[in-house]
Amino acid sequence: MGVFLESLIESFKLIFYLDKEVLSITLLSFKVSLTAVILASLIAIPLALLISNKVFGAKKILISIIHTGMALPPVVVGLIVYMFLSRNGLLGYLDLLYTPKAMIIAQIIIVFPIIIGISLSALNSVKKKIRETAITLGATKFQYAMKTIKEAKQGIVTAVITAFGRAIGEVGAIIIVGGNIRFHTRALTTAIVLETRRGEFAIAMALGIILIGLAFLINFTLTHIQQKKVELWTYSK
Amino acid sequence: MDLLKITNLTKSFGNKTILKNLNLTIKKGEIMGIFGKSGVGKTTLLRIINMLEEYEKGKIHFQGQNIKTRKLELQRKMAMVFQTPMLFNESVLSNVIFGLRVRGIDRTSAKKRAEKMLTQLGIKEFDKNASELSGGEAQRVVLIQAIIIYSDLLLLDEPSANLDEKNVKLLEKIILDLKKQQNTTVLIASHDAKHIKNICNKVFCLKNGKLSQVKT
Repeated sequence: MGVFLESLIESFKLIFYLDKEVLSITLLSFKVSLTAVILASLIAIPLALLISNKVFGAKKILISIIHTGMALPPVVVGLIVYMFLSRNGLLGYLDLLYTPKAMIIAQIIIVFPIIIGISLSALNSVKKKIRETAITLGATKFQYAMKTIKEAKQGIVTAVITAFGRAIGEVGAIIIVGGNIRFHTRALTTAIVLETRRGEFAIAMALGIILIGLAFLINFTLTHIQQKKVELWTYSK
Repeated sequence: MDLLKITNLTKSFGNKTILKNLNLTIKKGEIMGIFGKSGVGKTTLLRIINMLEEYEKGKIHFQGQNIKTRKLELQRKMAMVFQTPMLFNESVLSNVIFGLRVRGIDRTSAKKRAEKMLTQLGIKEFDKNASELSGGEAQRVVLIQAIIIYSDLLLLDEPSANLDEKNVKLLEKIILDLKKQQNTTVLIASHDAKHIKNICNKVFCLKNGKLSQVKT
């Protein structure tokens, strides 16, 4: 208990005095996860809308594949991305391995099925008659899409919240493709692993508190958006 | 000129043919009623006219244009009210102004027009979420949602289904006022011949996929 309390006090000191290394690690984690979630959302949400609107033979198989993707082990994703980006890999010439960009790529692959899967479920729950009401009242295809997204807003925001939670807390993939390099690719989770192994519990605890705080901050903001009445950009022609 | 002309329309669901070489002509300003038992294809006919449903054979011309060729432009000249009131998960006001906003009408003008119509029809709580409305109120709101855009053709599917006698009278008044003020053409589908006979110039019976006129 003594060590725990000591670590806790030490961790608050590190946060309070804005330790340079802790700040760099926090900003990198935030940047990588947020970028991955935004980029994945930009593709996944329209794709979910497309799948939801279309009737095609392989739809059930596609949805099953998406659901399987939601449970992708991050370590396996890390391994595959590593193989692609390594010097002898297919994309080795891009020289991305052990960079934040490689970490973003790995996290996009992890969160993409989560966003598309949960968004699809939310969009499918919007009743057909509601969609048809938008059409019969004269909505263009874009206005119709925006209206459907607005009706499914709560579920879609849940998808983004879940994805961000998965990304910010993920360690397996980013440690493989990022390499946990100090002041370059060291993120909150990978740093916690390192500091714990070193026996630096205070730093590890400080990073843990920041990680939880950051997750809370993002979730609070997104929940606020989720509950807020939003006038979407539905009406521009 | 005919507002709507349907020639030899055929529609099937699987092996069952619902509409068989159906013909119908509606002139501008007419209030037309179609009655028939449940499942004879009244809703399907309205949905086809409103371009929500595909069909196999036949031709439909609205204001002289084939509805298959100029979808959005023609769709914006019609409005349909479904049998079960379906409203967006937002305020009554936002629901009512949707059709105006998608047509590029600014929010202030749209709001002004909506508030006037809602008040006339006894809906006072504009900011209330539509999910909190009673059945009768929701039916009136979907009707306002459709008539506020001043469409050329109003398609009403079982409009009196969820209404009590008082609200049915109100609905009939709204339709007759629309005809008087805007010369709006109305096509009503109902299983109840009595209601539509009161207000329609022409009444047809839909049976075995074909229409037969019962009132001129």
